[in-house]
Amino acid sequence: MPGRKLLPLVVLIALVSFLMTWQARRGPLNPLAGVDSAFYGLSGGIGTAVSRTGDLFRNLTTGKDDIKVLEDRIAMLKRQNDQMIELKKENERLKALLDLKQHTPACVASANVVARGARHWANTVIIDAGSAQGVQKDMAVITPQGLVGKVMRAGREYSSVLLINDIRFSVAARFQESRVEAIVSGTGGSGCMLKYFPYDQAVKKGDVLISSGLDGLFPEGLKVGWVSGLGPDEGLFKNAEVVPFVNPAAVEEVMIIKR
Amino acid sequence: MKHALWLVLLTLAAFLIDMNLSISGFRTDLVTLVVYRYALTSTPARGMLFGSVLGAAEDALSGMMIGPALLGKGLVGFASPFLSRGFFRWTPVLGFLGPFALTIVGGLAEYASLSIFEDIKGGFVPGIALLIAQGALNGFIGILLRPEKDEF
Repeated sequence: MPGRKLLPLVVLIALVSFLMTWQARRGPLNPLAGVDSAFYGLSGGIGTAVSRTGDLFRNLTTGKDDIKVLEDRIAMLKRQNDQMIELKKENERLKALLDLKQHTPACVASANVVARGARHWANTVIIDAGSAQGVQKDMAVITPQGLVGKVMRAGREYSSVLLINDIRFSVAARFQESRVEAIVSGTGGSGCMLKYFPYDQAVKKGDVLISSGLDGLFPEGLKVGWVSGLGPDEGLFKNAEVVPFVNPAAVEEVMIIKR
Repeated sequence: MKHALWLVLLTLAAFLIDMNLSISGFRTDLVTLVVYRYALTSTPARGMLFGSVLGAAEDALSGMMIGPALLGKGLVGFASPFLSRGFFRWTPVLGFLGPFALTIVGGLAEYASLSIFEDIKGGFVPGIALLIAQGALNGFIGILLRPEKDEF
C-alpha cells in the first residue's frame, strides 16, 4: 500500500516542521553543548596529525644508497624551505593582526580558525575562542584586511562565525567616497551583493564599501568589499556584485571586536 | 558488530573531511554519501532513521536550527533503498546518478526548509552550483560503491 510506505516520510516532515517552528520562536536547540567543543578540537587537530604522520612516514623511507640519500636530503630541504615560507607568511599575518589589535581598543580576543562549519548551506567557521575569552554572540570578526563575519554562537572555548558570504549575512554599508548607504549581503557563493542602493546614485566598478555602523552590530569604518560588477536594476534600487576584501575561504587568524 | 564499527568510523571520517576539506571553494558532502550507501541495502524506514540521526548531528554541530539537515539526510536515507529495488539494476551509470541526484534532492530539501524558517538574504544560483559540485563528487565516488551481489 503506497500510503503506508510514505508514512515515515510524512512523520519526518511533520517532526522537522514542528522542531523548526519551535526553534524559530524560542531559539536554536543546542543538544551538543560541551560535546561539540571536543569535536571541534578533534577536527582542528586532524590537520596537524595528518601532517606529522606524513613526516614520520617520509622519514621511515629514507634511502639505502647515496643517490637515494641525496634525493631525500633535497626533498627534506625543499620541505623545510616550504615550511619556512609558510612560517614567514604566518609571521606576517600575525604581525598584521598584532598591529591591528594594538590599534583597536574594542578588541576582545584573537583566534585561529580550527574548522569549517558542519552545515553545507552555511558558510561558517569555528574559531578557538569563546565566552571564556569574552566572545559574545553578534560580535564582529575581522582581519587586518577587513570584515570576516560575525559571531553566531559563542561556546565556552569555541565559537561559530557566520562568514560575510553566507546567505544569512548582511551588513549596513556605505561607499567610502560618495558616503551613500547600502546593504551588503552574502550570496552563499564566494562573493557578496549590494542591495537597496538608490537607482539615481552613481556606482562604478572598484568603488570601496565600508561598514556604516547603522545596523547596530558592526562598528563604523570596517572595510567590507569593492564593487566588481553591476547587476540589473530592480525598481527603485540598483544591484551590484561585491568582492569582500577578506577571502572567506582563506581565513586563518581573526580578531573579535565589540561595538 | 564489525559492520557497525566500520559505519561509525566512516561517519566520523566523513564529518571531519566535510568540515576540513573544500575543493576550489566547494565544500564536500560525504555524510550524504555515507547515508546513501547505508540506506541502499536497508529499508526506507531504517535508512531514513539513520539519515535523520546524522542530519541532526550535522545541524547540532553547526550551532544553528536543528531541522534542515535532518530533513535532507532523512530524505536521502528514505529514497536510497528504492534504487536497489524494483526494475533498477546496478550499473556504473546508476552508481553515479543515484548519489548525484540524491545529494541534490537532499540539498534542495535543506534549502527549502531554511528559506521557510530562517532569514535567507542571498540568491539561489550559487547554492545550486554548490549542490551540483557536491553531487558530482558523490556520484563519482558512488561508482566505486558497488553493493555486494547478495545485497542488491
